[in-house]
Amino acid sequence: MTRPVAVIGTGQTKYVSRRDDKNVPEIVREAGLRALADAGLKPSDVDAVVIGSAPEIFEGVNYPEDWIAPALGMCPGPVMRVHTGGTVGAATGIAGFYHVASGAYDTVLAVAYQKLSDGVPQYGLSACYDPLWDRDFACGAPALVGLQSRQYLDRHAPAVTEEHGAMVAVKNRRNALLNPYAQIRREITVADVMSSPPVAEPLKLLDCCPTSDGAAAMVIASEQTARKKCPRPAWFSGVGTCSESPYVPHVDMAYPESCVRAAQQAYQMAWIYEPARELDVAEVYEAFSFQELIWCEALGLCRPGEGGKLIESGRSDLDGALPVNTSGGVLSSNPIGASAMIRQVEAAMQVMGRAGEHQVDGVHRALAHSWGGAIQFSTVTIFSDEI
Amino acid sequence: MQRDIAIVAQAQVMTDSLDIPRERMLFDLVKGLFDKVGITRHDIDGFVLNSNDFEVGHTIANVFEDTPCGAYMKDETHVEADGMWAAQYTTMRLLSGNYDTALVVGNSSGASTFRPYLVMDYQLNPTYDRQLGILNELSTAALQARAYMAKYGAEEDDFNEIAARLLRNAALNPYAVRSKADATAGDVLASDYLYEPLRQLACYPFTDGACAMILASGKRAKELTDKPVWIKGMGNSVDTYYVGERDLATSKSARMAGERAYKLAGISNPAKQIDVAEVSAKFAYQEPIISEALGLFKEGSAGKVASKGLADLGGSMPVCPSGGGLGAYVFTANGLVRVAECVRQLKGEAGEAQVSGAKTALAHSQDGFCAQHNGVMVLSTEEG
Repeated sequence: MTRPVAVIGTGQTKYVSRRDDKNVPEIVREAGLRALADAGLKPSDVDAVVIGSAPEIFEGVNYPEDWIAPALGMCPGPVMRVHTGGTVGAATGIAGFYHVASGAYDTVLAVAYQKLSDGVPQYGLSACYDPLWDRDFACGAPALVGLQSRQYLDRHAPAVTEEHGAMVAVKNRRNALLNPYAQIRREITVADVMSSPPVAEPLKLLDCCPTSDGAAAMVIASEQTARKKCPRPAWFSGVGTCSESPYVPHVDMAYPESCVRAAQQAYQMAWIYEPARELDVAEVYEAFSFQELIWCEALGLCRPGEGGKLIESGRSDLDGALPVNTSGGVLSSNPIGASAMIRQVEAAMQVMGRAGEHQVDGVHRALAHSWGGAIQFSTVTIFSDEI
Repeated sequence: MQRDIAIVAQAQVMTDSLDIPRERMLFDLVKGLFDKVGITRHDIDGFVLNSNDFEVGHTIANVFEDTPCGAYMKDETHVEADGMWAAQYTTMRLLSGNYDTALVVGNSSGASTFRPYLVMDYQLNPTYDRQLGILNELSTAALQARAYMAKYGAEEDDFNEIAARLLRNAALNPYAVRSKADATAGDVLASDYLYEPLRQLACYPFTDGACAMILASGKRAKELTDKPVWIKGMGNSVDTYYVGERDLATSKSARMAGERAYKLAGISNPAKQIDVAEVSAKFAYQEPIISEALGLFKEGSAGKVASKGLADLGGSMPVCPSGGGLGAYVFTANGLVRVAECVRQLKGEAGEAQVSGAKTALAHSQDGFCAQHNGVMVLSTEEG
């Protein structure tokens, strides 16, 4: 294990479908300054900035870190940008962790953002596919995850049904009602989801995430600073990352091995043997409803094929034994580059006891998960209330 | 630094016209490096890749890079902009103690890109600078060259001398895509203006290519090579975004990046303690601005350095014995290539371009217009 590193402050912007009042650096600054205020620090206390954005083609600005970093109030200063597609927010948090764990820096500001209203996200995502083999058929993210969801449903029928996906959508939108930063805050029913228009079979409109503008930030610090500045820091106790093949036939999308391995790596580092019992809360990257069940299985939060049972039992509800996506999840807000960091932010807030109305009692260990690329990248981060 | 970290080995590939897929280029390069060191991809704990979506024309550029780089089902992440940031991040991961052996790979396809200068324009602020159509990669560089000339009374010929030296050095570098063994300032003067005062031979050539490097903790590095190259210090710093807000004749961010790296490496007099420097310059005029900010030469001394040959191969402070960015400039990977060139020097593998007795080397990297963002790594043959 490395030297102790903790999250000591978090910041988010209100996620909306379109921010007309601010440009990209201004939105990132808003989240960054909130995180610093939460940690009781000033921009001049920060030793380095790590910036994460999913495809910069979304906003059409290359090397956006050069545009954004000066707006964070620490210029000239050390900056680095990470870009791993959907997992980037989490990869940015992990990069912040390694900045401090290396001993090279003491206090780091990690920020991730996306302003999807500046471009056409599904065009950008389609250019992710192989130009020769896949791009002619590419149709953004819903088509791919539609295939994934169908594969999952077929494998476990009749134990998992389309209604189980709808139940995830209902639960997460209900949680979002308690989260002031969430974009979609509306109570819905299983019948609403089932009767909403089809997007990519079996995904219906209410099974899908929105597109959002927004940013998230975390202040990551050494033990010395954390003890001084934060009564209850969220310590990084495990991190895991794994990448597999970009070609759909190579990947078992209903039980992605990259997710299993990333979780193993993180659990091993955090000394977690029975994740379903030892974790108190989990934030998984469910851009589409069925994904919550798929990730819960791959992360070992329930057995393979028991995703339907998990959501039906109420175990993953806000008042259940292992609440999942207490923030309302990606289904309620999705500024793509920030979405994976929002999972870390929520997990850290739960450990710090700063999650407000969606706080779960007695959280000692929280998990944040993300996926990216062509369902090929996975990250897992575990936060703990003790070193 | 809390642990000794070394570079085990490097590999490069560069061309002005790639005739195989980028993925194949990466596979051949990385497999070749593994074979040279005598390991397989399973000996690597962590992979850090580096490329840029705009420059390779692919959303999430690393989607198709992982597998050819051996990162399939492995711990892999991706750093943007310059390859040196990836090398610095890799170093941090090793320093943390969570990794023992790591691979870093940077690549780009600048020569195969449709109008690379157009791609560069996407760095500009979308609402003001880009719409005006006045600023671009070359016009901002020309402004910076003029700013240096105005401030220090430098002449265009000083830059032509620098370009000629780099082209001569490039002739000694097997990886260079452009070189001229007998280049003179006159040759540079005879080439066309791309943008006054930038002569074509004083500007970087578009290059396809990649660079890979294996880094390891001290103990592991000694198992893998007889000649580990130790990482003694590193730093990076970004300057303000708008070129009008900066004093373009000097580089505050390069100075700060250098200061940080020197402090870690225990260097108080860089001009004396560093034996060879690889500066990341896209244009000949950038070399003096950056090397002066790094304390290798006195401020505004481009003319003197050129006339006395101080930066030449046999000079007191050889700069870019590889030919630097004028011999080959792989977007994004360029800073990593500078590190790799320092590794060749310190391992004594630089052939005719070898600086005799080189023990401490400096590698520099940059990105952004007029080198907005600068990074430095100090390397040494000596452990500890």
